[in-house]
Amino acid sequence: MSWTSLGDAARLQTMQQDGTRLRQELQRLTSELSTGQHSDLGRATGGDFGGLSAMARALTLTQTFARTIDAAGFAADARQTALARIDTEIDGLAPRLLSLATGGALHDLGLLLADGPERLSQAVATLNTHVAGVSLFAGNAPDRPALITGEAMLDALRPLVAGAASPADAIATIEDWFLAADGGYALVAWQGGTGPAAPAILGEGQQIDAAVSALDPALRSVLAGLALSALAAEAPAQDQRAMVVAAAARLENGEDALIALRADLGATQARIEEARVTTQAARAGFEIEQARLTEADPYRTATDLQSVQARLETLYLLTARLSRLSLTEYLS
Amino acid sequence: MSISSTLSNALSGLNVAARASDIVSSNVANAMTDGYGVRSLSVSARIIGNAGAGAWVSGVTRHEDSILIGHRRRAEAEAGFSAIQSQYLARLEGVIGTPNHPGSLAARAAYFTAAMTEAASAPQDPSRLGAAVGAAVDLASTINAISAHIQDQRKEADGAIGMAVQKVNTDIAALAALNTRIRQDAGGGRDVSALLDAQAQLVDGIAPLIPLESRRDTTGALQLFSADGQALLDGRPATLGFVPAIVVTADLSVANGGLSALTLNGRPLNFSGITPAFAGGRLAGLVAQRDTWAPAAQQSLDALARDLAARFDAPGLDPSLAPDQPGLFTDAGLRADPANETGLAGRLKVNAAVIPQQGGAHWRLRDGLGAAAPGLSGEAGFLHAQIDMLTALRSAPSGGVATGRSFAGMVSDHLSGVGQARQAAERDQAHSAARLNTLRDEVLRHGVDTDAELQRLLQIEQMFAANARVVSAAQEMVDQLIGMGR
Repeated sequence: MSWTSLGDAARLQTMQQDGTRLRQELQRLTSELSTGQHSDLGRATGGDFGGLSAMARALTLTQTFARTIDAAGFAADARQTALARIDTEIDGLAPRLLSLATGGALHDLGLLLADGPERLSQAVATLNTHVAGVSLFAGNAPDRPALITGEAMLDALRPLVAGAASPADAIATIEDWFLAADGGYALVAWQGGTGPAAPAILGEGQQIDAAVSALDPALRSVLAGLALSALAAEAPAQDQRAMVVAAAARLENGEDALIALRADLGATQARIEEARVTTQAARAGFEIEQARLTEADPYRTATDLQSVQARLETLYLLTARLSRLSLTEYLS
Repeated sequence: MSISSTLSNALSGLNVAARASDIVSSNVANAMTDGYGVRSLSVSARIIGNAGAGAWVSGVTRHEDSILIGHRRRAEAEAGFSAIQSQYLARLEGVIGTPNHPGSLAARAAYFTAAMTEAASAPQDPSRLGAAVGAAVDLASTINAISAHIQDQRKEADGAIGMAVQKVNTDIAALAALNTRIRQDAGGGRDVSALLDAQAQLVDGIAPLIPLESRRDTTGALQLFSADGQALLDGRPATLGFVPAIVVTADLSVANGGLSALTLNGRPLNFSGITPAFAGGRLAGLVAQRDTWAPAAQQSLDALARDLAARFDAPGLDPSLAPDQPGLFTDAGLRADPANETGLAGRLKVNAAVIPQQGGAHWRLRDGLGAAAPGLSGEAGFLHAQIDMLTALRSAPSGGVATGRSFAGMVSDHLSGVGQARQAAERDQAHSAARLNTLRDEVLRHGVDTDAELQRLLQIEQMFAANARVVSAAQEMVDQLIGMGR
């Protein structure tokens, strides 16, 4: 036996190995081509999943933030609409009251004051608005209306006014009831929570207080003005003018404060909108980055597939040729 | 010189041709047999007195490059070890999951943060609180599942050690029996090639399990040692001892007697230290999987679980709880205890106070786990505080995880640790597999070459025909001589 011979099994083993390796590669490439993803992410990232983890997490959270921003935008829009309705309700009321109170006929004043209680009720109902099951102005108790009704407020005020010695006394009583920290408004009328509403979430660690509470001084002033004008209609004729003048002054103050409040809310709406745009842009960025990490380049995969196919075909051809190329074939 | 000696010479030639074709047929028949050593015939001229008297078969030689085969066997052991390691790590990585996969640990952690964030944005919404509790349960059960998988890997390794030990014991006993027959046959001058083939096959069977050194003593008997010098077959066969475990849990180990140690002739083998026993074989890989790698994986998962629990156990986070009561994540209902960290990942549960099926309520996630009655439905403070704990940078309470990580960072570090170990192991495996292939190829090159055998067969045919012709010529000559006498 000479040691220069070459065992049959050696050739077979080499061919088998090459064949197995090529078929494995073929399988990997076809799966990468059909799914578009690296079949083995561990190998694609070299085992360092830090970037991919951060990307996948950011994508998940961005989707959440898109929803929380939408909800915050919706709630802020609803609040702005409600405040706009109150604004319209009292728009121009103060000058008209003032002009009639200082120079107009008592009869005309009476006509204007007749729908005072209705105005107050409307304003209070607006503050009690529920949107999507959430009471908009009730602080951290969004499952309850913010206030008792306007009628109930007037009912609570009437005995106090009746006991007042003078118009000035009555005016002071009503204004105190609305504006004082321990007044009837805060203790009796207020139905909402004890704290601020849940902040709106605009991003990771980014929260803004987008809520407006019915306890806001601007809204209290407006309601105090409306209550004064409603109770003025029931006051004795000689006291009416003084109360109407006070109501007009209160309303005027309230309207100015309400405009400032709406401007603040508008700025918040702008921030929410800005956050929406930023979040969408960030999401697109994260998606591109994640794709860069997880996706297999289709051109490269297709080229590799071509070359593996060619090599496998060559191997089959060689296997067939070499297995015929044996002395046994020729000995017959 | 006589015609009868011509006949006798020709007959010896025919005899040699018959033996030679026998050898060729045996070689061809074993062209694909592992461990078969190619045979060749040694033929010498027969001398009677001072004169030649034909040819005789002086012996059958079995060809074997024992050094090359030794190298190949050690390469098999090395490949066996690295295959175990990379397989173990690939499975572990698969169970933890890559972050883009929705069921992965990282994705579960991200969903939990996202669900808490959605709940905090509308705390009055019971369905969002329920979703956040559900995400917490999913996160805890994912950690439980990974822990269970790690212990399954240990159990599997334990079972595989048992089977390997049984195989090694039976094979070594069979090798010893063959040694006895070889000693007898070689003494009687008989051909022992087939016995040597059988031994080679048995040794090849053990080679991937334990790195081996083998040699033959003067009587031709095989001696087998592990590469680190333990005698496996030296006159008498050695016996490996092992008792497979019925259950494997995180708290069981060889040190505390919960798992069986591997013994050689009753003496425990030491798999660590400067010269670890059977280092670099499949068996050592299985032992390492059971006693080193998987417990280390369990330890780092336990550290992760404890970090998660500790984040929600932070003092002052939840004023409604007494200082020793657990936060959102518990150790089977109790506060996670640093002294009892082993296996925590398997016991991690979400606090029953927030799970309605266990007598809790979702609103406690908003109002405090110890709260007696629901608070104001719009209060998001506690939810935000809990989210802040998840993202707070903390040092791991134990284990070698880097300092200053959010929970997501810890999860990512944990996965990257496994991923990088797997890449290193796969590089090792590719290297040892390539080495093994080269050596295996080289050994096979020395195997049966059917072309060469058939060439030899042609020679034998020629030789047979020539000898037969000599016989018939001699017969003709004898016939003529007989005719002359008539």
